[in-house]
Amino acid sequence: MIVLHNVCKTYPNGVCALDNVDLQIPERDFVFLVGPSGAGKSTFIRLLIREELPTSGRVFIDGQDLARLRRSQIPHLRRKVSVIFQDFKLLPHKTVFENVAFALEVSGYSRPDVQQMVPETLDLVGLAGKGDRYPGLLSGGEQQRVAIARALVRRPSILVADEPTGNLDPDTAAQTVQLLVRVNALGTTIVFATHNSELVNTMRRRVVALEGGRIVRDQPNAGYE
Amino acid sequence: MRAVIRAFEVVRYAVVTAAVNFWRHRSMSAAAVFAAAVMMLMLNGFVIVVSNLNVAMGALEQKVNVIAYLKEEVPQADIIKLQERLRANSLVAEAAFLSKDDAMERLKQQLADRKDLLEMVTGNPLPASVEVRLKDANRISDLAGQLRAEAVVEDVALQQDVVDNLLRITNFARVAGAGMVVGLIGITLFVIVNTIRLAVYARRQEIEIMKLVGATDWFIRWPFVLEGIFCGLAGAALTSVLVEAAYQPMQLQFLSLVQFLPVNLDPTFPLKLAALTAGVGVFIGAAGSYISVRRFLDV
Repeated sequence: MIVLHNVCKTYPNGVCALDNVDLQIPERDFVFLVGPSGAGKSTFIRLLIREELPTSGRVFIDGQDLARLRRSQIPHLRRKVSVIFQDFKLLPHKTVFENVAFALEVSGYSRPDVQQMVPETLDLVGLAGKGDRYPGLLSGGEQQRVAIARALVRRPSILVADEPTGNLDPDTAAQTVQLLVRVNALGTTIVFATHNSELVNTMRRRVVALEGGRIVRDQPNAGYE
Repeated sequence: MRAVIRAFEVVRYAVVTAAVNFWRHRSMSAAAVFAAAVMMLMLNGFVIVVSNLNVAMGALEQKVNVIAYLKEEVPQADIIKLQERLRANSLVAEAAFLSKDDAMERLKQQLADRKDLLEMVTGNPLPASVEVRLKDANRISDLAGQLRAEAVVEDVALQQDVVDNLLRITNFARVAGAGMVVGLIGITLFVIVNTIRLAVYARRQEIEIMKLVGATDWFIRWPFVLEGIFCGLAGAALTSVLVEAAYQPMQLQFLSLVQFLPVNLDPTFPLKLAALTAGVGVFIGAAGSYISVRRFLDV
């Protein structure tokens, strides 16, 4: 459960990225976060993984006030809230398997666990058998699926996607969204930031529209406009 | 049990990552090792000089005595009491009683070649005395004051000027040596910080991703800290091998030049020096990496 309560975020340079945002996203929800560039989508995501703190107002995840997290607790939050990015953020000198295993290694999973969980997840995202390839040799869609596998391998309760289809062709983008729908059906909350109107219109899910840092629309089973 | 497995996995990951990175950036690692070795070689040189100076000065300091000349006709019991008080005194390392006869005997030995002078001496004009060796030469004035207050003491002799000069040299050598050692540690730290910083910078993307997938600060830090420790230890090993090879011949050379100065002949000294070097290497490597990686952890 994600709760934003009267959240404002003003950067030191005076830019007001979010203005009095009130929002609740229950567990297992699938939400499109839409709006033009500069509407505040990225700031919203940074608040969820506590890369930023709100200037005023409060952000709760599963009842935990993120402003009150100690520095040492932030890693635990980021194991619960996984993020995928437009630019994938894969490590080029590690194989697909190693890139995904990385997310387990950082929290000290044993090798047998890693050997079991990584192939399962690669299977889930449709990359079975490609574990020993390097990211540079994969298509954009496959790279994004590696990033999704890395985000999912630790079974996060929330998956936040920041323009995950921005670098993909329409077909691959559609496949990526279908994959996230399946992940959502398995119980993971999805927050999907995008300005791809076609995708949003096809899916008919909850849409939260941001403009100039304010929520201008919050509608279930909606389209982009 | 699960916590133990996780801790083990984290340690294994850190060691393997550090070793792989050390080897992958071997030219940078070699630069850090070499820089650390050069600095620690100089550090070793200073430690050797200072420790030998300390031994030499210590030996000279031991010769610093205060002599308390006793009054004539002092009862034996009072002398014994004075000796007992001196032995209980915390400033005193050793107190030796020299009777009138002993003093005469010593004079006769010293003047064995000048019997003519001795013939001029009638009776025994020499006073009995107590020769006192101090634990700490710096406290010589305090002890002299205490001795002068003794009823049986006629006069106190001390060579203040000689003592002062000796102390000045000793203290200067110690302070200057310590200052240089501190300065060299600072320079070595600076070199390691900058070398590891390059390594950290080359891996900043990896660090950013580690933060995003929920790695703790220490999980990110450990491989770099270990890598720094590897560099420091390798530099220390190189230094110790060179010093071990050079120390003995150089000491012999030195001994043949100045036979009167005592030098540090402690057989465990090279081992202690190697241990100190290794300790400094570990500390500098770890501290340097810690400083380097700190800035990149704020993701």
